[in-house]
Amino acid sequence: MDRDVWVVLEAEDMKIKGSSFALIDEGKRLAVQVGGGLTAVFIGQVIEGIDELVGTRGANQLYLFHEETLHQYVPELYERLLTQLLSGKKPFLVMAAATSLGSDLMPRVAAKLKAPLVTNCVEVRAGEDLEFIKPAQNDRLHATVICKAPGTKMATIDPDSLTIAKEEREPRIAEVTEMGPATGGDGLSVRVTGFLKADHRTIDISEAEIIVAIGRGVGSKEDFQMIREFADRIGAAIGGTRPAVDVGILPFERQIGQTGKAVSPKLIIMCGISGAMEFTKGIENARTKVAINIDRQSRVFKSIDLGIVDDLNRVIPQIIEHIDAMVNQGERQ
Amino acid sequence: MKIIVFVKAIKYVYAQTGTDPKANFIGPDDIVRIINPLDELALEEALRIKERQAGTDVLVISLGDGSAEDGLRKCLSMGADEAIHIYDEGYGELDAWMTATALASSIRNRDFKLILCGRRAIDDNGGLVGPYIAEIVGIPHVSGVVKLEIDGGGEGVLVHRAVERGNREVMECTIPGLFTVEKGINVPRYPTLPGILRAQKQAIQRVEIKDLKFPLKSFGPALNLTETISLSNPKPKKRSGGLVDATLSASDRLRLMMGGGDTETKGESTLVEGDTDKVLSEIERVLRESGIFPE
Amino acid sequence: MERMWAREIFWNVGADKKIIVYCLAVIALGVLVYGIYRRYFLWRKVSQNGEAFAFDSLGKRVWSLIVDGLFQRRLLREYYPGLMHGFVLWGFIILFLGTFTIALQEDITIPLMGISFLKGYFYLFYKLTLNTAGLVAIAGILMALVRRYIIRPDRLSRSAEQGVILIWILIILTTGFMLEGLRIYSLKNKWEVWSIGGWIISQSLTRMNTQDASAIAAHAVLWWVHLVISLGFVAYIPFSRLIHIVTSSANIFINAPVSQAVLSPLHNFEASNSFGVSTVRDFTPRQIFGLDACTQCGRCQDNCPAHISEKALSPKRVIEELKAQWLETGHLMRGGDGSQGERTGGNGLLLEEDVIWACTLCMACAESCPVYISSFEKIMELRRNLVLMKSTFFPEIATFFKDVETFGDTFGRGRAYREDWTMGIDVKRISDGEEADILFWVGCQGTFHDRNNLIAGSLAELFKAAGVDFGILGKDEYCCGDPMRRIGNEYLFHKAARRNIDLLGRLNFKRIVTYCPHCFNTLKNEYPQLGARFEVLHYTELLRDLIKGGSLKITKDMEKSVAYHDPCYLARANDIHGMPREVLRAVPGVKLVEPKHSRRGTFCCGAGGGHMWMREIPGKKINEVRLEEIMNVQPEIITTSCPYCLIMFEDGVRSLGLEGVRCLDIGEIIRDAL
Repeated sequence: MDRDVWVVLEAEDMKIKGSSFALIDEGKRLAVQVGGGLTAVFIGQVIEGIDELVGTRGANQLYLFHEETLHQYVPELYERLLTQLLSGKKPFLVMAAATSLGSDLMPRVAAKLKAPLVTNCVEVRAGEDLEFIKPAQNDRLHATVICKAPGTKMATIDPDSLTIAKEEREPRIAEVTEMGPATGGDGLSVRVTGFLKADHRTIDISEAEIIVAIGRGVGSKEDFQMIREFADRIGAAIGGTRPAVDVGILPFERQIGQTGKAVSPKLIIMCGISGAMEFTKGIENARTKVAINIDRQSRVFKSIDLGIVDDLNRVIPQIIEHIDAMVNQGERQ
Repeated sequence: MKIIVFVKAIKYVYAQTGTDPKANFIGPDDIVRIINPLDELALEEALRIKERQAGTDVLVISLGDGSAEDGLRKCLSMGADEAIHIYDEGYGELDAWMTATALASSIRNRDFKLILCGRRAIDDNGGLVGPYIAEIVGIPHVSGVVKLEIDGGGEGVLVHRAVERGNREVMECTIPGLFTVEKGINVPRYPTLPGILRAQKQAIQRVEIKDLKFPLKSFGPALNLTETISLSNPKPKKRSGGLVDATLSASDRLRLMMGGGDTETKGESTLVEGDTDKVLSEIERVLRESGIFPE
Repeated sequence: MERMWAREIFWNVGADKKIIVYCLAVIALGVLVYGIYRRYFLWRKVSQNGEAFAFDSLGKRVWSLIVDGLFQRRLLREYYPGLMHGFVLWGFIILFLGTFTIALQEDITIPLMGISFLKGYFYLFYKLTLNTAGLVAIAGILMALVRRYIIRPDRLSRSAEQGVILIWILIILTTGFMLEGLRIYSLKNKWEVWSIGGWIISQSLTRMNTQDASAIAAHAVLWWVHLVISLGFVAYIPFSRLIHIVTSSANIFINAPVSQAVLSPLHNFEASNSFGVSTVRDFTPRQIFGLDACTQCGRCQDNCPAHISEKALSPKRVIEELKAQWLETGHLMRGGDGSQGERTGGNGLLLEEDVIWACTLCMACAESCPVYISSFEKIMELRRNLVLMKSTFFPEIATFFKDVETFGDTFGRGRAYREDWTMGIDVKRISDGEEADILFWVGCQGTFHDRNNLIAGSLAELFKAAGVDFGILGKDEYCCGDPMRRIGNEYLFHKAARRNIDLLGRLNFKRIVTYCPHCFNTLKNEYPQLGARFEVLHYTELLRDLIKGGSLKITKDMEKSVAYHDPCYLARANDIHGMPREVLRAVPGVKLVEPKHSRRGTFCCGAGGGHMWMREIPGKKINEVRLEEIMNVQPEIITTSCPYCLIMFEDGVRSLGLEGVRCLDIGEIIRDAL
């Protein structure tokens, strides 16, 4: 209890999120290092077998607040529930993923508890003291942060830095305790009234998490149709280079580069792009860069994560086929 | 209606061309002073509300050293009505909690309907000050707003909140309230020259941080909840996988495979030559790592 | 006998009619003067931007008036219209001098001194000259009619007013000849054969067996007709395009010395609350005067690269529209209802936004205008208003402004990276307190663009090889300000220029040598507006001197056909086109081929006026249009001395898929030839 590590879980489409599982793994690792137990907290809809899912992963305890109506984040309700729980139990460390939910919930709870909170961590080191490593200056530097105040330490962890451990485990059931009811304040000032799902076809490319970018070479209607099919398969927005926009394949809003938009997707797949400086400047903040180009000497292969030297018209249909096969095996999230 | 916008004048490190490893190779040329970009969006949103609703005043407040004044002048040139500079010599000495305490104190006894600020600052990547202020002041907050509309009665707002994958949560919130804005809410205006010239003459109220009234016995870095003890350069991202060339003949490919493959290390990426299966497995790996398919 | 060779003035009319003639003449002149006076009101009063006409450089103005006004230098660039107009103009000048000579004799030399000189051989010479002039003028008018209504070039309208005026002049001229012919026929003087026009007519009359009496009667009537329509013509001048006789000439005088390379500065920002032009009243009288000098000849349009590339811009239409706005404003002002009559076009702007942004500031319109009207200058004023007052421009331009302000360069890269291009080349830093003979101003393109910084490096190596004592500013170098100025942001230009001038003033060097023609033009011609005065050279000048002086020895040859593209800001703005060619010819084997538009008439690459940072606007791509023109002379190498032009052409070669041609900078060619 003194050194317990807690993790806050999230769900999507009635399933615990992958990042939450990864968070449990991380929490378990830290709990072992600091010599405490791992506890999970979940606020949301009813999920079958959550106690086993969470217990197998390594959590001893599970605090639960589930209701059918909670298919979406309700800020103040979550805040009150979590604050109540934490102020009562006073764990050593509580972590959440730095998702839009975690990043909104944790600061408010930390303020209520006057607990130190470090956000967007990419690493947590347990030593004499806990050290939290987080990116600063637009990912250029890493800051090492410590919590000065005594009491519960709080952190949000960048979901992209979490990996799910793939080992086999013994099935276990976590001990479940119901949370709530929520007290404090009457009524909610923030009411949830809806949810708008993005359409990858219409989303602004500067917001898109996945982008397929095309160069001028993708000229014909058939070629573009193929790209569109590919983009639809992976939920990607389509963007392009200045030459592609100039010849009219794409509208100006989809231009990426110095005179277009800067994009920061998790994944960008560049098809038939030569990699001129004016373009690559716009994709500096992309996490993973893939390039497909028939010319092996192309500039575009200079700083990418994955390069494929091949003809677009050959390789894209193959990829589409492969994806369809994966989906048919029921893998699509 | 009164809108308060908090802006942060940040030291933005855009390069590392210095020579001192202890300073992480950050030299004086590597830093520019700018307004935190998301705070600019917040101000722009406030100005747009002002254009839609007569009788709206926009007050901009910034806590910082001397260069915060330049940032405030920029805000005035865009159209803010009033600016307050809370003068604090130290940059980065106060953590988010102390900063929020100071800022909240500066608006005590002020009548306002909206507080707007950026969701996070790109120098320290915190995202804390906004919600902290909301809690200290005792008003609701919504973070990551990309659309904000005052409802007809003026008692609340309708917001769209940006969540993962471009989706939006739709919420209603009572006002007074605090809203942190995210990229995509608007494109900030470029000031007109008359605006710039007028702003040069406008008075900016300066308040020494020690003159703010705090409900605490003492105020200062000593009461920071967190502390940054060091800055370092991150390890380069691991790039597994690489260049796959499907144009080689079968015998070449076999030879390469037997020979352990032809690897060139170009900086951070590793180039390997292989075949179609390799292409597909690499693509699959990338798609899974990016969360499009489960890992 | 020769003494008899004279003409009785007022023959068949009666000298007593002279008084009527002079009365009519006075009336006609009166109308002319009145018309011009009314126009003057419009020139001076519509503008509320007080600047008076300036009359410095009187010599230059008079010279331009003679060379371009009288001798039609710019018009003669095109043979047909040049000769055509020259015929009419000189025909009329001579005919006018002829009439003036008569008046001189009749009203001055005879009454005062008893001398008559229109007799004898002089008179024959006089008649021959006048007749030739008249025939030549008729030829010119016929050429004009054929051109406008039969050949029908794109740039000329075929409105009724144009035709009416041409026919009117034709009638004046032919009636004049007819009168002469009738008189000769009646008087039957053999020596009048020197009056060739009249002689021919009188011969025809002879052949037609015309009755003497009819001839005399016809002559009497026709004489008055001719007088009235001639005087009527004079009176009509200010009410038609004929006013160009006054305005075009005056415009040459007023506008010729205005340098196109330099945009008018905005001084004293704090004192103004309005910048740029949003209504016609914001133009200065000098700029408004230019509007009235236009005769819609369309040369500006024919030479405008944007127009040729089918963009929304026609410099001719710009002047026409602004002129229409001006006239309407003027009439409203005179309406006496007290209103200021601020007229603007649709959506509150004087011109469509598309038009305002399409201009690349290449100055071809001003260069081609025979009477020195600058269309782009007016567009620039409107652009300033859009940028400074309305903050209305493409979002990528806002990003551009912010990047330059924050980082000090047009790429938004930052001071920290300013010296990366030196890549192990050992160069002095003048900013560190070192002295040097020459400050090498690299410019943002040479510093940051991955193609152009190779050239900057080549130039540095060339200078070193030649033993030039030079240094660079290194990290202290800041954008010269030209891009901001030409996009319309005078304020950012001012800030940049001020900063640079202050810095340069503290350093020790004798001359500045720039890589980029835009930096060259701005440092040399525009910084003096803020009080600085530096000796500035473009690197081609230095190379020429180094090669000529033997410091750079060309040892290799290059057997290639080379097309040199003249950058606008070197050739047109600063008249530098011989030197680069000299440098190229210093390499043996180089075969220079000239594209259709070259030297001062060069065709813009399309990057100017901020287009380097703007989205592509509807129409063809200017760089592709120019490239196709250059390729017509089949070069193996396209070379230039401007970083913008170079990358525009390399881009164009890629987008057009051209093979067998390379784009190189002059510096690279010389470096490879050492």
